[in-house]
Amino acid sequence: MNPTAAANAFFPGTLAVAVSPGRPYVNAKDDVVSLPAVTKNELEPLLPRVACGDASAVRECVVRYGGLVHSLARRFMKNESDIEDACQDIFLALWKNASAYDATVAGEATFVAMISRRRMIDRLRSRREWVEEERAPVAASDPDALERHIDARIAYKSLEGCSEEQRNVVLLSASGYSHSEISESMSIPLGTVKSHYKRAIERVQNALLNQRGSS
Amino acid sequence: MKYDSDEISEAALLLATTKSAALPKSLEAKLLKSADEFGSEVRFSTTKGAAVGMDNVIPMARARAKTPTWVWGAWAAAAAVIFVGVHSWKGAASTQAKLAAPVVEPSEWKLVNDAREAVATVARADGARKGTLAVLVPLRGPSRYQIWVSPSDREGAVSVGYFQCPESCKGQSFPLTLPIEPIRSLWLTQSDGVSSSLKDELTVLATGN
Repeated sequence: MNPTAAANAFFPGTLAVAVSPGRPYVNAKDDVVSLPAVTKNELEPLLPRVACGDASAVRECVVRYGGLVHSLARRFMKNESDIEDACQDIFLALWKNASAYDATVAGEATFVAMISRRRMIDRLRSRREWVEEERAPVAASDPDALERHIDARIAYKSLEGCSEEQRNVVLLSASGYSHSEISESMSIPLGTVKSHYKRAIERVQNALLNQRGSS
Repeated sequence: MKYDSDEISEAALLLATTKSAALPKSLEAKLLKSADEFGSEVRFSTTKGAAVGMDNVIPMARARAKTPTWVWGAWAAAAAVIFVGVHSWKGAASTQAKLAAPVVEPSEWKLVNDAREAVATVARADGARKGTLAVLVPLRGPSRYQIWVSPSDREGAVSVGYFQCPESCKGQSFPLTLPIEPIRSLWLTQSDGVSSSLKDELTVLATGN
């Protein structure tokens, strides 16, 4: 199953960005929503408390981020048993690396997403079962996520200034696709993928840095 | 753990394109169990302000095994000494309480007449044999007044003092020699002489208990 078909299976009617040989990417410009002014509405971070030995914060992490971690895992795997194992793995990594979280660099949910993404990619690559069928494609932005997470809002909004190819490259990369896979899927040279990625990711980085600097 | 701005940026984009759904209850239970295990097993550094991962933690069982035997012996001995000390102290305290039983009794008794009017007060000083009788109201009559106390009933009453008290004795105190036993009942009598026992014919002016 190619990413486009998988996308239709996972997100019928909401596909924003997907790759297929005949249709390298889908115009996602219309899906970049007009964003309200940034307000810091994220909850007080738990990871500093975890790092300081607060056992209740360890439990609160599950309550607060369990749904997010599970949803992220579902983007990388289909098998529910594998997803459960991955969630356990992600939370253990999160607790053990709680002291690495820096609130001046990223929101806590972003840090959770980063740990989740890293663990999922490691698991899939270690299994050597980088099965296309298991991988969900790039999805459209989620209004709730944009509303809830400032970093997500800023990052997604920053893509408005990118070309469609640049946007799709960076979104596919964020979803765990390697540059080679993106090159193959979008039928564009690897060098172009890297170039697109570099330009797009710089925009995102700058937007996030500016937001952090101003807050 | 190191991470760069590329990872953060990609994570933010991943977050933006992920619809968060509710965690299945069964999985939540498993994760909470893992959280409890992690919370109980991990040892946290208080000096560095950072958590020490489980990989770096010395299990508590191993840490205990390294404790020298003599330390445990010392603790056991200290516990024994404390136990014996507490036991002895409690025993001594109990004995002392028994010996000082009279102290527990009231240190002052009021003697009232038939009209329930307080006419005198007997006081014991600090559980000693010495006491005082204070006459609160003038005792009418020309004869002697005698004070009796008993650890039980009237049959066991003994005289602890007598005195002449004219009309002007109001407010005066008279010394008494009280028995060491607890005092349960008291009598104030009037007679022409000094009696050796609290007989029925003695006029009881006031009683106390």
